[in-house]
Amino acid sequence: MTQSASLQRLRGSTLLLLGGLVLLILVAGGAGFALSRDRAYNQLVIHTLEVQEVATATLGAVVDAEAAQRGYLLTGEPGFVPQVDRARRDAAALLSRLEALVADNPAQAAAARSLGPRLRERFAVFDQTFALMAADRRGDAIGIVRQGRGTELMRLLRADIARIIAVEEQLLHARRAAAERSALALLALTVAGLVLAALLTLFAIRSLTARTREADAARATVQELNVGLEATVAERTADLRLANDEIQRFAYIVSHDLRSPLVNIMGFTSELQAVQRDLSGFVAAVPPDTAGLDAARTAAAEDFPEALGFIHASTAKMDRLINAILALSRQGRRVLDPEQIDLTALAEGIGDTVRHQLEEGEATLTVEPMPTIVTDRVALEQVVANLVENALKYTAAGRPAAVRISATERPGFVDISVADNGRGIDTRDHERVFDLFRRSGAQDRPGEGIGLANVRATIRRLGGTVTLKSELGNGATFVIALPKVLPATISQKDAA
Amino acid sequence: MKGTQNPVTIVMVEDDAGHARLIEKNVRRAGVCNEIVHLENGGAALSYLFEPAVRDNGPVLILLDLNLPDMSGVDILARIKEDERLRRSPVIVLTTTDDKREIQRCYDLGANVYITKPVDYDQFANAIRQLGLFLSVMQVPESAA
Repeated sequence: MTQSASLQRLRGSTLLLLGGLVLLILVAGGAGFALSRDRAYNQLVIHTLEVQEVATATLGAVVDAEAAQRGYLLTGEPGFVPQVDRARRDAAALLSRLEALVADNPAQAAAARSLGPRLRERFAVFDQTFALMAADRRGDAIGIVRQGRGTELMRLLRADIARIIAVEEQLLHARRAAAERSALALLALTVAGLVLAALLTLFAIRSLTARTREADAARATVQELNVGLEATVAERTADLRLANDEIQRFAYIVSHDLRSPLVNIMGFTSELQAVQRDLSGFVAAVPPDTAGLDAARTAAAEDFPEALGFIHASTAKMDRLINAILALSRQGRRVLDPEQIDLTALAEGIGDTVRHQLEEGEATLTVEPMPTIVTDRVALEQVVANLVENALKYTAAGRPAAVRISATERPGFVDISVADNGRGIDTRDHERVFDLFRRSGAQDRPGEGIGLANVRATIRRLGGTVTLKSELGNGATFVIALPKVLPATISQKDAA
Repeated sequence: MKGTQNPVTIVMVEDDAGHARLIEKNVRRAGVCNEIVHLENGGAALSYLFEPAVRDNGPVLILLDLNLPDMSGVDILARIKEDERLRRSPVIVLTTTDDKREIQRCYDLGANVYITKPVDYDQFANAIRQLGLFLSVMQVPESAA
């Protein structure tokens, strides 16, 4: 699986989760809306009940007045008169309250307003009968009642109020139905929203689970590859080591076998030199006038010694080179013995061994505080000593050598640097100087070009690298990067 | 004093004819006139040494090179030192190898002297001449037969 596909999937599941969240918010909003709607509906119910109650009470006031009239007519007691007045006031107050309650509904308001004249008329009829009673005209008063105008008005009032109540009832029904419908719709919406949110969440979880599983699988694969890689590296390293061992053995055997013929060349050259000495003694003793004496004399005194001298010098050089190869291959075969080494002490020890040389050339060697390291002491000592000797050997004209040994640490490694102010090394030769038998600059110092080759081979063996920073004429800095602890694979191999 | 009159045979196992000649020359220069038998490979050396006439007729002095074409001189040394008769024969290892482990091994196997052939001829000649002087004075066990 590619990384972009996995990212897309992650984005997808995030979107799903976001969608679910939005739906949940919508559902919560709907529930809030439904609650406020419910409250409004409750208010309306209260309103309807109030209207009905006030309307009924208005009618009740008129009925009270009618009862008072009836009492007055029967008993003739004027004490009933104030009851009617109270009823009139009550009715007026109730009616104005009713009008206020139904003001929002034009039809109901009109119905309420039309109640006023009827009420006034009805009370006017009461007043009429009461006036007649006050004048002791009881018969006329009963006559008015008999006329039935009062009863008629009463019937109309009852009908009007009943209608108002009925309309209010109808309104309530309609509103309840609407409220129920919206509540139902909301419920449906809520359920749908919740189901959808649940589904989205489920999808998101599934997608995330799948992703997690993929990630786990990928991690397992990476781990597997890592193990495989380690095995491959170990295998290759073993191969390289075998090849290296073979080269070491090869170098050893070759240099060894080259020595044998060299012994002969040198031996018989020396024998020839002895013969040549006898010969020149003989030639010197020959009488001067002998034929061909000049040629023989030249041969004995010049040609022989010259040729033999060249053979001798060349074989001597060849011997040194072979010894160098031998030493190098022997160094490669030496068993490494890692131990804790205080670099500062090691460098100071090297300083002591070159003390005489330092004093002679007015040179200085500065050793900065350095950390400890676990590696092979002999090998490291040899390398640092070699670099210090080079620094003291290849000085710039007219400038006493100043050598500085320091070290910096980085994770797993220590970089030991040996810096000098000497003649420096041409950039072109930076790689070449590490090759066996190769040297750089003016060939005015003794040497075979072995030291740095040895340094590089040794440092490689210790699991490190050596690098060179230098400019012609401006000194050179050799930096040895060594593992803080010599890897066990290196020292174990040598123990085996 | 027996000195140069010592009848002990010197057996030189050396594959390089030049080396053999140089060794012989310098041994002779030191005044050693014992018979020198030159054998050029390991097989020839072993068959010569294990010939009854040689093996039973008392010790010989063996100059042994380690780098032989057919076998290592170390093996010859081991065979000599394992043999109940030959083991009393002094063995002088004279070779180009100066490997410390090789030297130790030879002494462990019973080599009497180990000499590295110096490439520098003066040193070489000197070493061989001194070896010759040494041979002229050294005592070899009497023949057991």
